[in-house]
Amino acid sequence: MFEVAALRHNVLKNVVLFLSAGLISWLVLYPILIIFSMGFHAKSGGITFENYIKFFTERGLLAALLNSIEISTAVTFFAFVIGFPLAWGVTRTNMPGKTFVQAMVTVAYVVPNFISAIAWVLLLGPNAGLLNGMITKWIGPNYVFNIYSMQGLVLILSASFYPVVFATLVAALENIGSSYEEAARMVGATRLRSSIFIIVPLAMPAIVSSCILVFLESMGAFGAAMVIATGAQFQTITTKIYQLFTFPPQFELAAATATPIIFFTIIGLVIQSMFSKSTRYSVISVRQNRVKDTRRALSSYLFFIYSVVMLACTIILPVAIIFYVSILKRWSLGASVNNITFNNYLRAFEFSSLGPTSIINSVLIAFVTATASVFLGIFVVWLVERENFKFRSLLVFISSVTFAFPGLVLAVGFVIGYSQPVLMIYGTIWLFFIAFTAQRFPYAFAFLRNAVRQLSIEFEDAARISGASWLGSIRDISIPLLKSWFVAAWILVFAVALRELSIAILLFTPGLETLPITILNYTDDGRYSFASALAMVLIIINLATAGAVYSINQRTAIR
Amino acid sequence: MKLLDQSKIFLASLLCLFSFAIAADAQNAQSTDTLYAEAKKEGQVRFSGPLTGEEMTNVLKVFEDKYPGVKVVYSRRPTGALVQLMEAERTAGKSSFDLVHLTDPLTFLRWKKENFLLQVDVPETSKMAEGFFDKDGYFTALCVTTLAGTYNSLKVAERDIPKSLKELSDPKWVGKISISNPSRGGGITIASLMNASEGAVPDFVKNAANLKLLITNGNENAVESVVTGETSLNWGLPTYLTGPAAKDGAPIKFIYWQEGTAVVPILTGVMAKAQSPNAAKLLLNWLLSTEGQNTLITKEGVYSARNDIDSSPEGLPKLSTIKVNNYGIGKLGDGTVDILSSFNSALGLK
Repeated sequence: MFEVAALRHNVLKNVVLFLSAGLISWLVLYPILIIFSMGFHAKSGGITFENYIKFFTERGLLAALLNSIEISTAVTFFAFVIGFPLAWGVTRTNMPGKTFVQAMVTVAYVVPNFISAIAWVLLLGPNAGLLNGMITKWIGPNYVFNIYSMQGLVLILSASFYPVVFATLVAALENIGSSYEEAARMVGATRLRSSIFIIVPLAMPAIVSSCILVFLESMGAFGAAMVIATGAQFQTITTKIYQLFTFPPQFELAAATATPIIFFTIIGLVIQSMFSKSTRYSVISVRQNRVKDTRRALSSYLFFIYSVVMLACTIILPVAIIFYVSILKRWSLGASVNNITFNNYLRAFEFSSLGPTSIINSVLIAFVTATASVFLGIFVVWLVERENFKFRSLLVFISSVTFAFPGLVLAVGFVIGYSQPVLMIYGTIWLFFIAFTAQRFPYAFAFLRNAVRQLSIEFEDAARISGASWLGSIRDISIPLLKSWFVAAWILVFAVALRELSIAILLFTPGLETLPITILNYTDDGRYSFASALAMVLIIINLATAGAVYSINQRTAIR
Repeated sequence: MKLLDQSKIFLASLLCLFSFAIAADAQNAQSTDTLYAEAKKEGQVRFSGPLTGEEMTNVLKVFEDKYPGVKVVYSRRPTGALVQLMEAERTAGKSSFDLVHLTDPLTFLRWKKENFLLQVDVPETSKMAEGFFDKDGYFTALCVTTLAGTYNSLKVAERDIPKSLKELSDPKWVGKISISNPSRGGGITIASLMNASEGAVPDFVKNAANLKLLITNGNENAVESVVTGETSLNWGLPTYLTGPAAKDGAPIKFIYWQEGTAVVPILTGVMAKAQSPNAAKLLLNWLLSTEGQNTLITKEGVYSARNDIDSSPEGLPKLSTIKVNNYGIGKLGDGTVDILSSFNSALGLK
């Protein structure tokens, strides 16, 4: 009787796990294979390697790739320099204003890249940037920062992507109990020493993982690169791919050009795997044992000051300029009393504008994407981390590959793949659900994988020995322990899905506009104030959602 | 007697001509009625292109009021994004749009060659300048736009406003001019570059790097850079984008160059795989009718593609009052590759 039940559980487990793996493989591989098969198509109709060879022989293409590598390396460094201390301050100190810091960092991540780029141009444009105006006036014209430069792009991307480092590390550091530090302190280690030699190594898999995510995301960055790189007259791999897509579109060469990004994903995964093998600790415990010291040491205030300065430079300034533009009647007339209005916000909810439709579409798509990604993520991560099977590395690759894959290229695969008779869902919201989940799943996967790695398998074993089923042990033991990770993963996927533009711009049909599409259209039409008001609505929706999810999480937390 | 005979013949001829005219008119009216009946069966026409969304919705409302039962679903997309989508859909063997308009004539020429467009008889092309329509009827100008020099009136003093394209080589403009990336801005940007090249000093394009231009991603961003004052001047921006901004209070003014201002068609065509070809033809016919053209002029801020309609958008001069250089399909088709190659190599763009 017991054996039959065990067999049934085993079959159920395998069906659930392999169905999830099969589903995510289908979602990701189907459009990518369509694209790559195009890379082998000759214009005459036969098969050719010409496009792939051309990539390595064309000077412009290689230069674009090298620029992307240089920029992504710098962005990874700066994102870590900004994100790590912030995450440390929030989780390992009694710094004041922790909730404020967390909320603000979420804002940084939700603002679409092209909006950030416009905001930064308004602040640091060499001739008319507000900050540059002040610098010229108070310090001198020689100290002006030209946003139209490689450094400018690094600044914008670092300010956009450090929340990845922050969110990953907050989730990791929160789960590292204080008992390790306490033990170190008992044997005479200073606070700094115990941090460096105990906590940092424990968090190393998450640190490496977050840096790889930032590097890959920078490689695939498109919106800001289009504004800045074009202005500064250099190319990145994504602007080059975009160029190959226009006048006339060369899908075949564009597909070949996307290949290096896949190699970088593989390299990233290999590095991640090396680190996680050398430093695998079980750090998540049932006991909630975060630092209980309520005294505020000097370091807490230093962390607070650092956080405020970083938030001011990376979030408050650009968002303030977006808000400023959003309350102007006429964007170009400046802030006189007669030129200030809140009508742009009222208009965002008028049904004659595209505002309400795009708000509803965006929230619905982001909600489904986040929920589907986290649910699928739980099972795929379990399969990768808890089961031994032949194609484990391949599944890890599939689950990560779309992270840096240019959305525009992926979107072409979706348009072609889902216009076929059997899968005719192009032009419906269902394709948005599928495409967004395929593109944003790696966030959930990377997050949850870090979490599961930190969770000792002994908890599940104990539950199973006590008679719990496989699903029961996950539901009653693992999920409650990992809940903060799930919440963080859900919020992050929701945020990135809410701001997604590169796929949506090809998939939308009338009535299926998302908020970033509408913002882009109004920006193109010169209606900057209304576009900025919608960008603020996007930020508010994200904050409200993150706040609501956090609040639910707190209410249902283990006491 | 002979004179009387001649008069009779003349009168008879006149009568014949008059009868033919009435018959042709009746046939035209009939064909519009037939088209409308067929379009009503189709119910809707899916239309897309770069002309600004809210204004276009107002234009299309006039059409919908005139032809109840035929709904227009308009989707505003920049030329680049629209072409990408259409190409991806073509690979999949479908088309989301019945009628499209683009600022890039080369795409239409290619689509014609690749049988991606439907041949449509548009009588109004007889009233258009050469180069503004395809002689085989695959595409035609929907409207035209001027590419006027545009400057920021807060940044450029009255005495410094250039009147001739030759003045652009003056060192005082170094680092102060923006243009949309010619590789990505479609026919509008190419025409603008060609006009500057032809009107300015010799080797202007070859020496363009000396100007330290701000290259923007698309015409919209080029407008933005002048409006914000990030750059002071652009040598040719479409007035359907800058006109509304100026009307909206943006500190920008226009320059109609001594050497001539570029005029470029915004082309339109019915897709070969259109789901509602009759509704698309009906809409195309109406857009090119006197009523349609005047509606586009007043609501969308463009000029008529037809020679017999000389009205101008609010705040802009009539084309008959300024010196214009037409950049039609032939001129853009023949010269694009050369000028792009010269410009990109001058600036080291790949």
